[in-house]
Amino acid sequence: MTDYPLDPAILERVQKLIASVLRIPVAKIGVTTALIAELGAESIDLLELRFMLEKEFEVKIADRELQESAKKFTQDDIANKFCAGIITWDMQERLKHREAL
Amino acid sequence: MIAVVAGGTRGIGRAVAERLARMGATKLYLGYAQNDEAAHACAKGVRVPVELIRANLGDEAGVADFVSRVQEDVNVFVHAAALGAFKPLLDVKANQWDLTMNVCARSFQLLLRGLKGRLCAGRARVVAISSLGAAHVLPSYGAIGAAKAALEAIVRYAASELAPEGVRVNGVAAGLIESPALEILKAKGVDVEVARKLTPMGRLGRADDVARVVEFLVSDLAEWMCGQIVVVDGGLSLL
Repeated sequence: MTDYPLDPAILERVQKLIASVLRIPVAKIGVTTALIAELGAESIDLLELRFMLEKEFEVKIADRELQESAKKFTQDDIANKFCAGIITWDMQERLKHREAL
Repeated sequence: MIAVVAGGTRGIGRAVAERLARMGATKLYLGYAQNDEAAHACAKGVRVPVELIRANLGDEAGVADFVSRVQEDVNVFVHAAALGAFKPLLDVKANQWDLTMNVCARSFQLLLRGLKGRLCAGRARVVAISSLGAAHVLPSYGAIGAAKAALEAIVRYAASELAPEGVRVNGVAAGLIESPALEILKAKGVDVEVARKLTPMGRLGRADDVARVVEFLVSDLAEWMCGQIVVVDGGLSLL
């Protein structure tokens, strides 16, 4: 696992967004659940998720940032990413920073 | 001329933006959802003042944000925004269906609602970009085809409701066009060579083939056209 602190509030909000996009129960989305390999997300789902994350957290997410992140995510990758492989620690910091404003 | 192009930085939308610039547009509002690089390249390339609007038109708040950015009366509005699930119809999931319909069709109605005052004040000419997939079966195009059919219906109703206000609304149904969307179809295994061979004019369409018809529709030459969908496909739909 990782030494980085996982923000439970952000995790919960991201899990809810993923659940609403994929229309699955929140309980199916664990910290290490792979969005593509395990939940069957497709590129159009990731694009929608990006739109929703940008709106929810009022941040800008770069083109293909989620797609690339999710594609490369494996269970061994939790040191770098969490929440279905789409949230990097760097992104969590950006989300938290925005929340603090 | 003040012009708004939703989905105006790539493919057909970009070709339309370039045509409008050459027609004398004094300012272009160009909407896009992704690919910042292409958007900035487009803004630099058209050589008239451009305001880029990055917005998710699949979302009501995103449309409202788009509308709020348009600060002048509008003379030309082109809806070229399209995004969707390229897959067999029965494989399309509910969220993918909703996003496809919302971006391709609902956003046109919401943008017309939001911009109505500015469109009427500018006696605007409006064109929606549809595709052959609205009336014909194309591989992996079921959701987008349905959304484009809805878009064409909106064209007819909006044309009827806005004509008395001096706003003309028409549409263009494009055949297979060499564009980012076609690259997605190719990646899905669709053999576009078949379409090329079947097309009486012997080639796939280019974005500017469509943009030229848009130029006609927004010009005074099309003054008596109202609520029509013009097919631009090199004759592919004749077969």
